[in-house]
Amino acid sequence: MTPTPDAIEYELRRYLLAEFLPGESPANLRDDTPLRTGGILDSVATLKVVSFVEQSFGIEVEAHEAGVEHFDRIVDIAALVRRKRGR
Amino acid sequence: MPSTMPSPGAPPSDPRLARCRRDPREFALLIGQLALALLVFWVFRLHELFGDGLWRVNLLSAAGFAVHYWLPLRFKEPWFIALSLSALPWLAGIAAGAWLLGIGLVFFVIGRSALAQRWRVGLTLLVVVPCVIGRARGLPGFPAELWPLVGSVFLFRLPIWLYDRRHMRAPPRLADFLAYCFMLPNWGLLLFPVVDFHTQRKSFLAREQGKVAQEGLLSIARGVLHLAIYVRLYNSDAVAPDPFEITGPLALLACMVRVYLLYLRLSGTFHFVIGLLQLFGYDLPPTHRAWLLSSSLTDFWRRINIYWKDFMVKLVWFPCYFRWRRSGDHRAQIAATALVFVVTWFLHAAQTFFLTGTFLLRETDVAFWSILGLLVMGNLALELRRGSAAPPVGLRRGLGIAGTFTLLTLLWSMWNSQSFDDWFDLLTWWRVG
Repeated sequence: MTPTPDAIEYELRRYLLAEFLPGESPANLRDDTPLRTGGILDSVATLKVVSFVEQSFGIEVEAHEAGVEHFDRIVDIAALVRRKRGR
Repeated sequence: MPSTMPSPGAPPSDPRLARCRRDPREFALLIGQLALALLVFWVFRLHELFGDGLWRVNLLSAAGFAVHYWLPLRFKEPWFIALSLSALPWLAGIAAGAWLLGIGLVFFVIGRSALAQRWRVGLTLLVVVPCVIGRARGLPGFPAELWPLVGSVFLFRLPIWLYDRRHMRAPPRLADFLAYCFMLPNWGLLLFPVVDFHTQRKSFLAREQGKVAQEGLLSIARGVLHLAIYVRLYNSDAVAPDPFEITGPLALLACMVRVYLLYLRLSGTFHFVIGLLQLFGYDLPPTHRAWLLSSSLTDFWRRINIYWKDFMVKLVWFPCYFRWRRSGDHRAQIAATALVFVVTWFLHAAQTFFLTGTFLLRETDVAFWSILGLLVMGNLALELRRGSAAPPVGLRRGLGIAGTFTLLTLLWSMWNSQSFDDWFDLLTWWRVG
């Protein structure tokens, strides 16, 4: 089933909270919270998010897309997913 | 890749317009804090660590910020570029400054061309070759002070820019290139943090200008604190372990800890530089995160010189991992990590070559990067096998910090020794003394 636009952000937030921010209030993880530059995700953790995104949304992420440009905020990751799914 | 510099006719919907709110009270508070930080800088005579250039950069940055704060959005980044370029001949010399700008423009023209990426890289290397020869032997007609500047500005930033260039959807803009490569604080500090092109572009006024500047002042204060501690600890920048001064195990320990804390100079410098850039609206992330509190070697690698780690992740680790991941996820990560440390060693040696004229090929240096790389790889393998365990807390974290500190202190003393013989002499002080 194709996730609705908001569902992408919802799924990402749920995954990030469970995997990297256990116990954190969901209100503290906004769509524009810096994940990479804010120290929440390191490079290894980013690869886990890449795997999650690839498996959950059926896209393939390339090396240059795994950087801060697309993986620093939920809103950036969701935009990447939408762009790649729209191709 | 979107450009961050607004055109003169920037659409009124640009969210950064609202972030340029000007408030005389906020401005007075910011300027007051900046003056206080610079006063402390002066009282501790921190500029003497770097020569007069940095002090002049400080004064220019303070004056530049006072103007920048009040400028409308469309003039803010052009003002930073104009200030940086006009300060270049004053701080680097007219001939060196002109040549540096000229070489930069050649790099830009090559990078902007519609050629395939491999041709852009090839032509860039053709320009790099005479620069290497110039640094090694000198080139007639070129000032000697040009080559360290070339290394400081382009050695790391040019590969990043070329990498990002490959994936840009529109041709790169000269203004973006100038704002990235020709940053004012660089003229006072040759050992400069490896700022990422995309991060710098994206960070420009990512928050309200007052908040970004306030973050910058915090970073400047952090930098001043690190440098002040460094100066108090050493009172000079020429500290090397001397086995003849060691009189007992406690003295050995103190000497080794002092050598490890030498790094405060670098962390302080980088915090300070990033703080200066934040005054001009670049909302850059911190360069270090409490590196003395690292609880494991992978934790250390993630906390110390974060810009370098991100540079390696972007240009080496991710590309290798994505190429190799089909042969196994964990194996690809560990192999990519090994390559990161080889490249890190080589680029540090190349940086030393451009800054000092000598390619660093010392047994203790090679051993340091090899051992650190192997330990980080081992640590990573353990983390991957354990899965996403929660970070250690309480006693476990305390033991982790103590163990990591001890190990790094030992490694650092080796790294700073001229040879293994010198290091063994230090460790066996009773034999030498």
